[in-house]
Amino acid sequence: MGTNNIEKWVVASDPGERKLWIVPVTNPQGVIKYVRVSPHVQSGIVAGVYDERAMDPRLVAVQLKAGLEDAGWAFLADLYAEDGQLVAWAAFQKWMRSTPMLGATEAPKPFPEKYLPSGIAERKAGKADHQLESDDIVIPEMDDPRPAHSSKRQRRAAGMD
Amino acid sequence: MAANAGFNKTSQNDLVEGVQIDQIILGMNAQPRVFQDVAWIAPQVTKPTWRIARNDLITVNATLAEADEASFTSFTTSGVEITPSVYPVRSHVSLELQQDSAVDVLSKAIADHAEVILNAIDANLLANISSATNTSDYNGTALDKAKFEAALLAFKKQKPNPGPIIFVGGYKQIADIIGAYGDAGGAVYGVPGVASNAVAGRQDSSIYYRGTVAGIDLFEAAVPASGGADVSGAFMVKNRALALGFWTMLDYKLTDPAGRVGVELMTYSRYGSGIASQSNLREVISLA
Repeated sequence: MGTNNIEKWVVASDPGERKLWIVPVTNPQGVIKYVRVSPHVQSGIVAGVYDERAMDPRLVAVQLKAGLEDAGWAFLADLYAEDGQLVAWAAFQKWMRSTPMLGATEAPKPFPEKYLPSGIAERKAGKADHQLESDDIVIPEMDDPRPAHSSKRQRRAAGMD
Repeated sequence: MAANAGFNKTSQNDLVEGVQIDQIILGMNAQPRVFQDVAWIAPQVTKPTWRIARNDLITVNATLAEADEASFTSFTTSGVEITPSVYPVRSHVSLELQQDSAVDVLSKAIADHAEVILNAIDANLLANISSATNTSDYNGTALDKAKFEAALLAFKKQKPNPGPIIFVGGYKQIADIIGAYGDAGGAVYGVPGVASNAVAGRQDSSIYYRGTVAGIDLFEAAVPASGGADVSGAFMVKNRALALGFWTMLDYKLTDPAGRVGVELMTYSRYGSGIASQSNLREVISLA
């Protein structure tokens, strides 16, 4: 699932102008989280692989921590890729760069909900794979039409008791 | 009318003194740092990796029949590993400035480097809030009493480790919470100073501790932005949620650069941060 050849993050910086990467992910309920990773910030959600040969490290790849994907977590970039909408992913990255997450002082308009990947709406509607509920409890015997004489009074009235 | 000739700053300009520089230099404009108060800090890690181990929850349900043999129970642990990276700041301090400056410029340079590094440590530690797996999402809305209490209840249901529960939030989050409890009025403040001291708390821009509401200590901090208009604050167990390990807390070295006068100053810290236990942390997203 997903693709490995796209950058699933946006490059930001901390107060000391060192690089910090923001990796948008969705949680199982469809809430978008802007996970920060860097050699100084070991995320509990995303594991980053860095090229640290230079003093200015470079993020090479990201991976969800074990078990999270099955639980319904996903990279936003992967959800866009699944929809075949990498154009929208580029627009989302551009929007991220205009937000206070990357130092803007004014909050921009929210990213339009209709341009979010379908995986977000699915999760919010509770219809993603990991959210499929087990079958409803069915007890056929109790669903059958009850006999008319189920109460003592009715049975007496019918002359059965 | 023409100016009267005589003694003035033009005719006597050789006698005019220069600028008096105050010895108090205003610091950088940054929000007060909270990491020293909220994080689990390992001040001197000596191994390449710092592992925070925790016991897994074990329950034993088997009942023992009379005269039967008890079965064995396995007890397991989990761990979070934090590795460090060097955080350097490097500057050339010229001989000319050292000689001509009104202050001890080398000391100032070291202190300024330290300030940048400490601000970054604070931001990087708080950036871990964005990696909480438990989230109460109120994006686009201001926190109020009901939301704050709902998020607190959800946090408690995570069964966090024992310890003081605190809320670390952005300026608006803290203001919204205090305002909401203030508006709640008599019921909350029936016994002034007992139920809460947050509303009457002293406003001082160097103080990040903003008092208590509903038994929760409020910390105003530079928490990470979340999306367009929101920030990620968090409920956490104090000193048991966000972890900060120092391999070198703060140090500096002076080098004589070849071919130049002056000195080269490098100040650095070697540290790493992470989440000690997800059960001890709950992100709360609301308007910034």
